[in-house]
Amino acid sequence: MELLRTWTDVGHLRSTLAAIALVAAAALPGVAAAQQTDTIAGRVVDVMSSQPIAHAQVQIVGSGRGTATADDGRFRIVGVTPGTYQVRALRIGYQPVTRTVVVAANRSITVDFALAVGVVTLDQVVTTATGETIRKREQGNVVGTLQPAAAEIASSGNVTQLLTGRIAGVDVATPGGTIGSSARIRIRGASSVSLSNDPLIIIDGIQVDNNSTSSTIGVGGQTPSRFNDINQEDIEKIDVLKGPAAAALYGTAAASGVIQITTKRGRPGRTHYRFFTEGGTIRDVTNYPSNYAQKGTTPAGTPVGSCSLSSQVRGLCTPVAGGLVSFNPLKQYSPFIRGNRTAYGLSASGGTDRVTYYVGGNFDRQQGVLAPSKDQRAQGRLNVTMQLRDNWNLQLGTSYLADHLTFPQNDNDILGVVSSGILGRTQDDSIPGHACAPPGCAHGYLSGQTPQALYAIDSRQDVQRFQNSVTTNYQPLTWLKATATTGLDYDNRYDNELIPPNSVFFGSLPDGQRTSNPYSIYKYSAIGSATASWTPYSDVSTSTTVGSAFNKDLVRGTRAFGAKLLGGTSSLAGATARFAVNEVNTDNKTFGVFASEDLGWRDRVFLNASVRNDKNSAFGQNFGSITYPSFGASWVVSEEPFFPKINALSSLRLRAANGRSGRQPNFRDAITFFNAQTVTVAGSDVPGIAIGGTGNAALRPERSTETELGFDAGLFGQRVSVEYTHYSKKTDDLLVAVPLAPSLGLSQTQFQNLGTSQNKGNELSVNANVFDLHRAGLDLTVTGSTLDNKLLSLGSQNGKPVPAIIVGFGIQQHRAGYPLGGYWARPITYKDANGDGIIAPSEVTVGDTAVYLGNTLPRYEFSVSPTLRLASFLKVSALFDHKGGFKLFNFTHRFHCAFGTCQEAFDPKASLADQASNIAIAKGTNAGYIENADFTKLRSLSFTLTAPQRLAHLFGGAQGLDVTIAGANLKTWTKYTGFDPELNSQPYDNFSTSDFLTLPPSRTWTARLNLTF
Amino acid sequence: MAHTHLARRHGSRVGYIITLAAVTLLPLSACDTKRILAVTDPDVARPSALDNASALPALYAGAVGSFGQAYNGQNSGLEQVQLAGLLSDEFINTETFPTRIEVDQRAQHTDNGTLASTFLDINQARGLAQRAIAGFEKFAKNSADSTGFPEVLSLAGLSYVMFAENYCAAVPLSVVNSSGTFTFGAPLNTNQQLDSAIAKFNQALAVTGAPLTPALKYLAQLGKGRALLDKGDYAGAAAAVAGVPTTYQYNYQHSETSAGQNNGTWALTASVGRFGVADIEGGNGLPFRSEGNVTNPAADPRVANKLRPNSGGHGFDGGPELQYVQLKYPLRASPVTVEDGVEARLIEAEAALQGGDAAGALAILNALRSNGALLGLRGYAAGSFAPLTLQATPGSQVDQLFKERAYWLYLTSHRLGDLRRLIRQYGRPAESVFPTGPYFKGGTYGTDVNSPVPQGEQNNPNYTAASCVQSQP
Repeated sequence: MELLRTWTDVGHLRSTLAAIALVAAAALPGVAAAQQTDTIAGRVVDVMSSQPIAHAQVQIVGSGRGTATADDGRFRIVGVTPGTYQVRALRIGYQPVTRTVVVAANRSITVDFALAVGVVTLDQVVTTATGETIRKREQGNVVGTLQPAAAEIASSGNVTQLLTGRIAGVDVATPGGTIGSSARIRIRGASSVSLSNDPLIIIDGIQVDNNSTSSTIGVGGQTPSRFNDINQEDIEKIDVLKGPAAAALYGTAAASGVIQITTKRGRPGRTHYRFFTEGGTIRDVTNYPSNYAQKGTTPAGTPVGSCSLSSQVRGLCTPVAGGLVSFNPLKQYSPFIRGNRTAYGLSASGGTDRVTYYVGGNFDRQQGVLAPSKDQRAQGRLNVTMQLRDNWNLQLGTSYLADHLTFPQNDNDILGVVSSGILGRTQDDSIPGHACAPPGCAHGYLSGQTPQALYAIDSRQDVQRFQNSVTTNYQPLTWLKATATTGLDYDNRYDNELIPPNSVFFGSLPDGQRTSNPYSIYKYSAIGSATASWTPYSDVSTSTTVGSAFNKDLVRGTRAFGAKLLGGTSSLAGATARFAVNEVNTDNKTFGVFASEDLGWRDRVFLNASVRNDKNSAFGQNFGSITYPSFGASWVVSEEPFFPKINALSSLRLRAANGRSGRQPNFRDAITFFNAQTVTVAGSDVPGIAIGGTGNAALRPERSTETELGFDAGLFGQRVSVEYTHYSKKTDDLLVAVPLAPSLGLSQTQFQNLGTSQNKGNELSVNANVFDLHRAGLDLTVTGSTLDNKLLSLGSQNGKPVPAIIVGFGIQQHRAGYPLGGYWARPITYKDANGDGIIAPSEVTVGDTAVYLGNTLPRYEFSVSPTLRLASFLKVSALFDHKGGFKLFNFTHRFHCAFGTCQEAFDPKASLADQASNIAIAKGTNAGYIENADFTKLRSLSFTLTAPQRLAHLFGGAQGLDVTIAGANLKTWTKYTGFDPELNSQPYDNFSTSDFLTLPPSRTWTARLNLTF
Repeated sequence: MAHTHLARRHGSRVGYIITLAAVTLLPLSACDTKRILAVTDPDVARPSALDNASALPALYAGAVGSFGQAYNGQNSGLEQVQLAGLLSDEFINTETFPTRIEVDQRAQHTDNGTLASTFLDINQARGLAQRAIAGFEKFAKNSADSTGFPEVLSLAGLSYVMFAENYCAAVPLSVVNSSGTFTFGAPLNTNQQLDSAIAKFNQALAVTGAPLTPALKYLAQLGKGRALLDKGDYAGAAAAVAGVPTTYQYNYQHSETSAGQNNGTWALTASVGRFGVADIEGGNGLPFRSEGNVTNPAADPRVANKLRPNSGGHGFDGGPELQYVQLKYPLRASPVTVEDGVEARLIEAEAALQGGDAAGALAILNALRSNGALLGLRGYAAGSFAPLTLQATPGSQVDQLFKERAYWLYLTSHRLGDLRRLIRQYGRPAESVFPTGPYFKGGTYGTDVNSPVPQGEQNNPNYTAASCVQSQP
């Protein structure tokens, strides 16, 4: 058996290598012919100030060749074969310039560019699924782009926060205040009922792990996200492909959109060093409610500690005058500390004409507002680009992350800090006459122990993550080029928890226990393509691309548990009882081939058609492959001769795109299987079967088809850009975990392709250079989007419509005709019939059937981000974010009331609605706690001071020095009565959305010093 | 000429593209994508691995283990023993989960997620028992192969008994055919469920040879007697259990090895404080807590309990009632008695009472209370119980009998069925039997006397939700 297994593993390795080799072979046809070449060099400057423009793209049009300018604005492209070329320089915030150059053999050509300010992005380049870069004007779909500025990085603790409120159609719900916890990211809403709606993440061409529930240790709610592993210091650019219309070539897995990240690379020239240091504070700013009780007496005169309004009106007790008491453990014995954030980083970049490099590393440490909430990470990246031959280059990228994260208990956890305080007692148990029980005073915390005592639970995750990618571009002929990228994202994760003996007094925990779960997660990527381009007629350009892609996701995990620890030990070696071990192995592979045809006319009309065909290991055995076609058209109508040349409308592009993408089933969704269980028979443990999963041999991927229509306009001499898109996405063959009739005695659900969902909406992005004076300037970015999501059908099985699927604490449903995961509850009606100001149980009526109460994702959102420049040394930026048209289940308050300690349970001054909601809990409905969650937030505010060069020189000869002071989570305007209208105890879950005893977001202020040399 | 030249150049590039496409696509079409996409899955067993004689022990163990978990595990947080205890008067809720509070309050909803898991677990137990039965019937060629066959038949029968006693009179029994297709069942009323159970017990009793050990014969007898009693066939029930020793017990052996094997009632009471011992719950309940509290020198050991030793005596919810922890299952690995020889005598006592022999019934009850072997088996001190006295009225005689049943069979998923029998067979109003009036966590008790078939069953085309009436005994 051992030999067989070894052979099998080798076989799979062989198949993986074969697939990668196949992809590479497809990408590198032909042999290069030696040719005489030369160099194009020059400088890019601002037309007004003549100051150099760094990081501008300089490209040879139509060749895929190009480079970026160094800090001094200079660039150099080597290995150019003789001929006539169009060379284009472009930079976000400037209008592009194209110049014609003639390259002769053995002669360098110098070409300089002077760019004028402009916010229109038609010529900004984006990276395609095949690894090529093309201009936005050539695509029929919209691409959201973010090039994070230093101030934005300073005000963001991680890449999740960096994305928040920046790109139209990308909804990032702020995570709670626990350091390292995941956030829910949705692009154009959610469309899948049972599969992940998380976007696909690509870094430098390879897929990376994006698991938003990346831990096996439960701490009540919050979980780490691998998305937060991305080092924002290394990011050059983020492109967001928002749906299948843009991402069809990514095939199976791209239906929820693609976030494509390009990391920094070096430029030819001297070595540039950058150093930063950052420090800041993290504070809890939440006003937590007190716990109330009303003392009273029974009709027999017996004192009672809790005489609620409900009991009073039923004659069960009479309140004692002045007997309303309250206590707030979270305030009076506050567990919150002032957290802090420190970071240091150093990077260097530079190179020669043939080899450029970027190397960077940084160290970050965050201490949250609860003592166990902390994170410490060290990260490094090395990117090297080598021009191996004039027509062949190689890009190598490698990064490393060492992360040590510790999590506090919270959320849905009796040992959690917030939960134990809010659901705690109405008095301090240390007051005279209330002797504390062992192990000591709990000071009103429900768990019976103070949070500090519970910090003995040590839940942590250690991650070591390597990402390696190799990209090669090969151009054997002037009109033929090939690109191949292979890479591996390897995540060595170690989830572990220690509870020392006699430290936590709940259940069996006094025994002490240890959990030790090492996990290895591998994501292999390989994609290769070849593109032939030519110009059959002077006005027509065309290119044809063919290629293939292979992806493999592998998880190898072992979980081990033991209890009754020997004092002084802290590993499984010290455990003496209740040993449990399990192993997790999953494997998923996708293989696809694709072809694409692009046609351009006079560089203003572009047509594209592409198709990809995928096979996946998780498809049902009766299903073959799936094809994803896409089409796009783009017309820069303002460049037509007939278009009026007016300053107010200086450019206009019309675009349309249609594409299809998919989601593959999860590992094992298609197969029937049994698990093992241990059974004690005649005193011995023996193996028995247990129900596992119920497969479906016909299982196929979900298919999302999306159509986009939109325009990009430049107004007022390109000082204002407007980007508008209407999209409509329909997802068919929804992979639904359909509840099986339990009387079958099988698994709870079976995956079936059923039903259809629809997402429609509009997106608007406006960038304006409002004014640009000598001493001041104001830039304004406004993004907005709407979302109309609906489950059109859940299909039918066995001749009956599939009933609504219940999720999220039983208060959310997937029901045909309504938004996915909407809130549903039996409605409440009430009337203070006797006018006594108190709602009695008899005055509350609860409906018989649940009704729709609202959706969980915002139906509309917009953000406003002004940047004010004063003189040459101060820049002030802010981000205001508004989300509306959604509800949030205030489960925290509902539980507070269910525990009988919320204010409205006792206080007749509480609103009648609140009293009715409280009473209705006992009548079986939570409808009173589904609240309007519309809000506006001042998410961030930053001040950047740039020092004069002579002052910078004082710091070791630095060429540049700036200081950014940034605040985050500064103000919220909302009618939501809970802690925060974005709070979610299960952000990792596909739909479950509730504010449930989660640590609210903290407020941070940081100061960052940047030095460049 | 120029045009011709251009065409030739185009022709050459088109040819190159065709070559390019061929280089790319032909190997792909020729290659074995099945091999490239092949994956391993070592963690689970596929059905084909179980379709042989060597799999019989695993099929048997699976049936036993799944029944044990569905009966008294903790997977759903409310398995049959706890469900019957919470919906009746054995337990009160001392935790925060709304889905279990509404069970205690007798106001359950069909969309209750906990109840969905509870119902699924007992159905899976029935399904795995049926799968084991099919395996024995297909592969057992001799007596040695058939070891355990009568046991899984009885466990299947007991699953039907659970449906009949704890659920509404509309439980469908669907079947997975050997081809993998489904045959959906129509709702069965309580008597039909019991008939299904009796058929299984009869099948177990019909097994010949060594596999039908005396212990397994008693198990089938007790199951059959219990089902007949539920049907109101008192004499038939007494006849069925004749000869079962009083000290016989069929225990499910919990263990510490995994959470799934732990005694769920221990875990959910002593460990995490979710349920407390009730005391005259809702006015009609029995005084389990006060009569069994170990601080009381005369405490009844059959319902022994004590105040939770930590958290100030509060359960998971921190109040409003203190949590008294049952001591019947004091350990994680305490075995749970599924069927008990005592029940044979209690059935005989009820048959005697039904036959008008109140004195005979009382004698049986008192014989149990003074049975030294029985008391020793359970760890009770000799003389723990004073003899009962003959009650004056038939009603009080029934009360006395049912209290003895409640105490002897405490926390073994019998009490809910007994309360329903008091309504169904003895004509008592539900509101005189079940907890009623104001509910201690707010609101009032509902009218449920059984647990509903969960909403998920609506995926069964032959099931209609309206046929399940939760107030029907």
